[in-house]
Amino acid sequence: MSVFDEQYPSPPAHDEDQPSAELECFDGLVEEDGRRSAGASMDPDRQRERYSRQMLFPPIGRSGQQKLEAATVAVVGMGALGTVIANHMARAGVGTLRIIDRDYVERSNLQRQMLYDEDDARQARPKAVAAQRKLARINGDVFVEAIVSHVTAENAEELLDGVDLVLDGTDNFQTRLLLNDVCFKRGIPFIYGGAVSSHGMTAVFIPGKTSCLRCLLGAGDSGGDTCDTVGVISPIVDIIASFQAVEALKFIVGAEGAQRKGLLSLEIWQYQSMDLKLPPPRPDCPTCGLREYPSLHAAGDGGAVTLCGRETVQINGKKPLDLEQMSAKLAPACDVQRNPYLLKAALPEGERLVLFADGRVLVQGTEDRARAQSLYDRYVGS
Amino acid sequence: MRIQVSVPLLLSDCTKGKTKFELEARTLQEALQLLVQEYPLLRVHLYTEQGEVRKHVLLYYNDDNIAWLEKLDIPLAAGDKLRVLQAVSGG
Repeated sequence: MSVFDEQYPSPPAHDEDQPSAELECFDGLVEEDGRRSAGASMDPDRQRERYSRQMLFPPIGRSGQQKLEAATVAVVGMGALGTVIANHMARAGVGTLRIIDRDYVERSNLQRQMLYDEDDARQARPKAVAAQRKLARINGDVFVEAIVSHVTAENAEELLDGVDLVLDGTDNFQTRLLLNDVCFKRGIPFIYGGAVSSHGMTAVFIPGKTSCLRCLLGAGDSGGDTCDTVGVISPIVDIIASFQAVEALKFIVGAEGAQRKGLLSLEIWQYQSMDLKLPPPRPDCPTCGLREYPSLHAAGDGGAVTLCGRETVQINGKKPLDLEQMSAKLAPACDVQRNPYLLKAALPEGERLVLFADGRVLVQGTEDRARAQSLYDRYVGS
Repeated sequence: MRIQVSVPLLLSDCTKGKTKFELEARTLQEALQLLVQEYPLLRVHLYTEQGEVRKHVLLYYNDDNIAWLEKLDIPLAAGDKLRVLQAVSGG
């Protein structure tokens, strides 16, 4: 064992593709794999060494480092933005990191989603689980909670319970407006980021101090290009996510005066940068003005939802699925692959099903919701 | 009055490949009308069939989103900027 091994314990040994012994269910799947108990303090000498360069930066210093260690931060969406943000948060020594994602790793993610590798794609690991494994190797002192779940009006408040800050790594405005509602209802700062093509945007929304995302967008929960329709290059993702991360650091260490107040818009191919004013808080805003939080009261998005640009329909089943049982059921008719978190089935009709333990099913190869529902009923059961 | 207009790279196929150009108009309202007259392919990206600005489209006149302005009948000054942005959804 090297000196380094003694000073820095190796990440927990993983039996490949077996969930950790601490696996527990929480509206989906939570794997708690932190290297220390929540709230435990790091040895001061180790802290000084590991974070020395960051602590030399006067606005952070020793007291800022302690605040980072005491913080609980949620990253919602562990795609391109989320992986960069989580990487920064873990390396900076944020004490507890809650990472939430509904999806699994595919080869087309590897061009820009920096915590994943070819093995994660081969094994079709859920992104939250794959990220947690990588983050545990990056900084074993960070307590990482991985949640494999679709964020809905029904579970959003529970998923974000107890966090100091929410960082946006999502890929659609419907979920962002839901996060915005939870954050403004509970007084949690929300750091928006978006990136597509060579263009990105970011802004900081703080309840009681700034307007909110709904003030900027209205009900704009649709429209806009997505990475799946017009593509994206990885540098814009890293840049926007890093802007989000630095605002998170400022908030956590209490550098309120340094917080960026505008809407930053960046285009990096031909280079165009704009720092625009955010709207003033609107008294009639249903979120920060009237405090109605409409996304939290929206009708559940159960049933079938087409995932834009992905030739996929997601069906939100009401009950958890027993993947072992489903594997046995589907194997005679389909080509079935399974890991501890999901099951893939290639159907004789040509489409593919991806079943998650929380009850969600992706029907890939169609955008026709009726056909997807029909295949779901046929193979999964209504 | 001659003002500067900018559009996102993603919409530049509607503006003859340009992301920055100038328009000659007397008021903000006239500039907004001229923008879609001179570049008609832009209209569907910026406005709904009912003529409302699409929710994810942000039109800034200098530092202000036009949605916050009480009126659009504002006389333009040389060097004013009209910026077309789309709120970015991908992640």
